[in-house]
Amino acid sequence: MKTLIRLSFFLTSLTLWSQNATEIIRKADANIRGKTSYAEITVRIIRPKWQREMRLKSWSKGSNYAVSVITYPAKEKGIVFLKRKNDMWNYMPSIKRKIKMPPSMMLQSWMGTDLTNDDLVKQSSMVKDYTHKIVGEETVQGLKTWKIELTPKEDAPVVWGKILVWIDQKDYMQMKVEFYDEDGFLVNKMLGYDPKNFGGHKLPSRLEFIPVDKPGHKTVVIYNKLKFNIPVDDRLFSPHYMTRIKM
Amino acid sequence: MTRLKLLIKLSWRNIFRNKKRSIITIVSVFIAVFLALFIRSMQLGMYDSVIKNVAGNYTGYMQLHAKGYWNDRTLENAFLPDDSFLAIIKTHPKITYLVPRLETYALLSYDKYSKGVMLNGIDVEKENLIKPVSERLISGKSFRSASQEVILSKGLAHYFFVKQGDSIYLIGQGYHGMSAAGKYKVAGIADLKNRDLNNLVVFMPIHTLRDYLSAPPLVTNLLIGVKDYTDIDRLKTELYAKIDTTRYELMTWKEMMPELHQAILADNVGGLYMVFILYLIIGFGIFSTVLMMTEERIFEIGIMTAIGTKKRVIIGSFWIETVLLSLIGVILGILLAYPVSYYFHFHPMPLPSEKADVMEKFGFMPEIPFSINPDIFLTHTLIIFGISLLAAFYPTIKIWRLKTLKALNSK
Repeated sequence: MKTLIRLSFFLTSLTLWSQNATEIIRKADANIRGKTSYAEITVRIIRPKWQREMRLKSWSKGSNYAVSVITYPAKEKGIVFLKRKNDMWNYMPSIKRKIKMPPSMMLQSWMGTDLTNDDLVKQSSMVKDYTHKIVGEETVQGLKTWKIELTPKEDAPVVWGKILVWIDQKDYMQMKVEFYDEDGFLVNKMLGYDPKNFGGHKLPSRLEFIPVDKPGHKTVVIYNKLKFNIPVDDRLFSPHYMTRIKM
Repeated sequence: MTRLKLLIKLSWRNIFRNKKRSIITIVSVFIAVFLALFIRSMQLGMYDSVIKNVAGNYTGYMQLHAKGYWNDRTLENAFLPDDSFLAIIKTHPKITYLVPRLETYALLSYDKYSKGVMLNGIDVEKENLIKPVSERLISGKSFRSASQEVILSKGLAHYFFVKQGDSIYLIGQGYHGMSAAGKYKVAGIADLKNRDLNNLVVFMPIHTLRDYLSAPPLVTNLLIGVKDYTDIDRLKTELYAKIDTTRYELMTWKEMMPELHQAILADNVGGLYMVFILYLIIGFGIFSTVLMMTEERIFEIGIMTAIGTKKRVIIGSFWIETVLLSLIGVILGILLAYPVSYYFHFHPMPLPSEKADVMEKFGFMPEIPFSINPDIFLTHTLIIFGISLLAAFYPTIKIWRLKTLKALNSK
């Protein structure tokens, strides 16, 4: 009898922990998103021999719709990327053409960065497509974090074998993410720096994406402005409107 | 001197002792030489034409790249040629030209179709040193150095159904990951005389291409022209000593197109086998004639030695006979083969269409211009000469060992 009680205690505590992990991930996910958002972003591509910078403005609605316009450099100014659910569109002002990205191009680099087109559109959700487990507590950049392991569910459309996320215990910020492939090798890393308060959402304002197999390669994403829950016109997310977006 | 004259006279008469046999020998040598020359002239002419066509007219016999470019052909491996370095190569007596190219890949889109193509940025004026763009055209006209125009190879033009004056779109990645897109007018359609290239290449003025890619004045390939391409390997080692090998790599056409080089090597070996078999047959033909000539004259040789003719002299006459016999055949063979090769050199032999298809696949032209390189004729004359000398060893040994008395009793 005693053992049975002990066992049931043990089991409930397990489920408690597990729910707890899912809850943390959900809060962290909600922290990134609002109903709508507007951002001004600087993207810095760093390579062993050179680096360059791009600037863009971006609007989003929920997790299904997003549109970005490049504002710098001049040569690329006016290029628009539109995400509608799983689809991605690209408008090139220099040739006045809209292109719907074919599946074959989704795994190619986005604008020469370390992110793929697929990274920008992917539908998989850290909340829904993974099971979560707290595997420890660590300090990342002076912040106490939970280290959470995400294992993809069986039928989830996910390429990773495992993801490790370090989430700040106070503000639910994702301070560090590691992506592992199916063989358990570390492929990509994301690191968050300089937390700032963006209209009630405290988020790292600088993100670094590092492909582990390419030394010296790095993409830095800096949020210069980030607003949540502002009114956004639905027309913005239609392919027809891409040609008319004003900067 | 008089003795040599006498010897030649003697040999000449000996040859015509048995007219039929001599004529048969001469004719067989003649046919062998003619066929050997025909085959070799055709093969070597074909190789020469292929090499000149692909390497000479398009890639250059040698190319200079930034180190590592060939294995990773991206814009990040392009280089900026500096003048002092160019001067080293330019002043080399065996080098005829240096032509810059900028190569990259992009998606070409026209109407509902799109296809990956190779963009080849060319310096229109310098390109004249290899082959003027206008000579490649089958329709349209060449472009000027800064015009927003392209020239499509004929396979691509066929694929997209584009004509001169149509506008095509190019989309791809530029320098340092910049996005590259542009709209260009088709100035003309070119025939690059090679199936692969004809389905791949789009020519653009190099400035226009750099602009499209947002790239500084970079070059990916520096084409090096040489006076004599057969000497290319030695020239490469020579140049390697002069360049900074930590920054640059030099490649010959054999290294850049190993499949072409190997196809030539394999085909060449096949041809050599044919010629070898031909010569083997001829070798035995000459030998049998010499054998008969010796055996039927044993008694006569006995008498000659008996009355005091030196064996050296008799052997000499046999040598002259053999050489004369084959030489007549060789000269006749060359006299007939040279005009034939000469004719086909300037009027290349067209191939039947089904064969032409296969040849084109391998990058060969569907016609065969013959080679009139004097080396071929000299080589085969020398080979026949060698064979007849070899055959003449039999009478030499036979006569040297001959006992006069035994010879006199042989009848």
